[in-house]
Amino acid sequence: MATPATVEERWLAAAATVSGGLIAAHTLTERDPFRNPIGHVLRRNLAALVREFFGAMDEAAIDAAFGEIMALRSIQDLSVERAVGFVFRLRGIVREEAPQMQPAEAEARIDRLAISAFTQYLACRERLADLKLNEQLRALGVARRRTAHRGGAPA
Amino acid sequence: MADRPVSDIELKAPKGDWRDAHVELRKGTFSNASLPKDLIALGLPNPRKWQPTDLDWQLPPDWKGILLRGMRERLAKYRSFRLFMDVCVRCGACADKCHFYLGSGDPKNMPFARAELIRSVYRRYFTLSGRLFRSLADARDLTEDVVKEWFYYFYQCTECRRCSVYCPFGIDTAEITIIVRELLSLIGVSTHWVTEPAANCYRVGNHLGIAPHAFKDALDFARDELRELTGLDIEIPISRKGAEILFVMPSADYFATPHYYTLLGYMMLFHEIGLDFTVSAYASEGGNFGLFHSNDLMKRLNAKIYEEAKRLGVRWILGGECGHMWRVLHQYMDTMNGPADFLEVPVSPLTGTRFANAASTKMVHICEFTADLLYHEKIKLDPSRNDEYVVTYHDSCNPSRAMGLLEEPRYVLKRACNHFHEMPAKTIREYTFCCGSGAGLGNDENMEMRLRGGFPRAQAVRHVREAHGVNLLACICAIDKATLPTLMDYWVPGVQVAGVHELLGNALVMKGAKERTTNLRGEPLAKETANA
Repeated sequence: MATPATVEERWLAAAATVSGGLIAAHTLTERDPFRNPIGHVLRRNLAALVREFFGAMDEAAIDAAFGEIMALRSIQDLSVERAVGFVFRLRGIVREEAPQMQPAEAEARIDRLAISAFTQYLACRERLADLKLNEQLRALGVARRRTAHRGGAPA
Repeated sequence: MADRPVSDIELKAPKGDWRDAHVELRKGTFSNASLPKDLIALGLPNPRKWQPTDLDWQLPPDWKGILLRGMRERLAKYRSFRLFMDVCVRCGACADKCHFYLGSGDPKNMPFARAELIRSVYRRYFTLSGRLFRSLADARDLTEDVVKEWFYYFYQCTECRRCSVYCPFGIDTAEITIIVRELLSLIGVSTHWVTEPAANCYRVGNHLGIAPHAFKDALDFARDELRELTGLDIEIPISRKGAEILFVMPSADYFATPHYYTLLGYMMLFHEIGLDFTVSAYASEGGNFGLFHSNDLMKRLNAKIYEEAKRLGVRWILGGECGHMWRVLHQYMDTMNGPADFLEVPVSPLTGTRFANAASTKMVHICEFTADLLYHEKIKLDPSRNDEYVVTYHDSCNPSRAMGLLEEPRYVLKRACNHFHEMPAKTIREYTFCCGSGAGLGNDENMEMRLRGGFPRAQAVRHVREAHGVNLLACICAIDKATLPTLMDYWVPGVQVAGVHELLGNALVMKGAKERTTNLRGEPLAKETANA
């Protein structure tokens, strides 16, 4: 009988592929969140996702967990396929570790996870554009403030 | 392998040879190349239009000879460089200390591995074992791919020196980065974000290229805003000969936000204590992007501060909230342009404190100066004006690790704010994590790399946000103030960034001032909001 912990461990190993295909052993083994921030974020949020997968599939909880994971993966040296594709590795893991689960039900749940992962990935990429714009605006912060102060366009 | 449980995974070294120098330059992970106009302005070699994504980097015909001769010269000139090439035993103490390694997982960002990229070339051409045994001695030929690899990885190092804190041999990886960047500059390989500010500084005195009349206009505007805020006429003297003190700040303080609010804080403080000071339209930049390029350029840019101090006839220099300005001052200035014998050892005109630590450079950090004022109860604060903020403090790398300025900013913050919480011990003080954008990396084309590098710092902020509701990250570096807001918006939304002297300005009780209803940003004070 599978436990969520086993599924979580195997999924973490699949997700820990970073930086051009190298498995960072450090990511998997070091438990200090400040010596291994990537591993910490992955571990914490994959655990939440596995709980939802075997539980209520709460949309907000799933989006929040993928939001954090994709914030990381969307800025790593990963193609879109690899950044998001690890979600589908869950198929094989669940088939082997949770054979009691109906395949159709498992597929449907994985599809819902994948949609959330894609959505969050795109949201992170869009945020990058906003970050650049806002940084430029702050760099001109005094000029904009002065213009507004002297009756020009609002800052 | 990846589908097996974590506990079953064999922790072997990754496949492939670390000596393979090929790098993939993805958009978002490197800085654009220098423009010819800036290299010409600075008298630097091989000005041409190129980009790192070009197949042909248009290196000079004898690029290899130039680099090897450059290495030979520097090995002879800098004992530290030769030592750092020889003494590393690859123990790995530094491996998980670099924020770029922690944020990217890229093994070549482990500090010893990054340094191996040049050590391998050093061994090949400058050691007997490397010349005889080549790859058996972990030696590599110097190729164009190695040049590109140096560019990629040594422009990922922010010269923050966290790794050096943990090195049992005291190897300062930042010094290695400085030398490699210097070598690359000999063949015209450098970045726009470094050489344009340096050229601007050389031309008009500051990184942003702000001409004297625009400098005056910005300060006049600050005076107007301070009048509205306090009801007081707070004069900001410019290039006034005979002043006791020359005040030097980073140019972002009078051009960008949130830096500008720190400038308002400085000026309120100086007015309140009646300080005899001047700013300068020529030394209108504390920062020194020369540090991110080469020792020679650093020396040239640093000199103008002292030339101006001499011209204005001041007694000593007070420096604002800047990061690498203090590294240049504390670690290099004395041997580059010093000693500043024409100045006096700084003495606070208010408290009589003699800043013996600045006996040679004659330059005092604003946080030391203000902490001393508070210690002697020379100014009065109302910390409730900062009650909307739950504050933590980011030790900026250079003031903390390069000059040991750890207590003074905290001393000021704890008196200016009622709600202050520290981040975890191994992420602050001399162990502080870098913002990930220093040393010339803070441009927008390099955004993804910056967010990787800043991730460890952001995680520590997130920790105190979750534990204590922290909503403001205080710091004392202009690059931090420019780039930490971006980092927070991405990783920890809801956390603002401010300078220590912005918070001091908020809290400062000024004689003859009208009642304060807003903070320096023009936002209502917490008690005003509560009343409303």
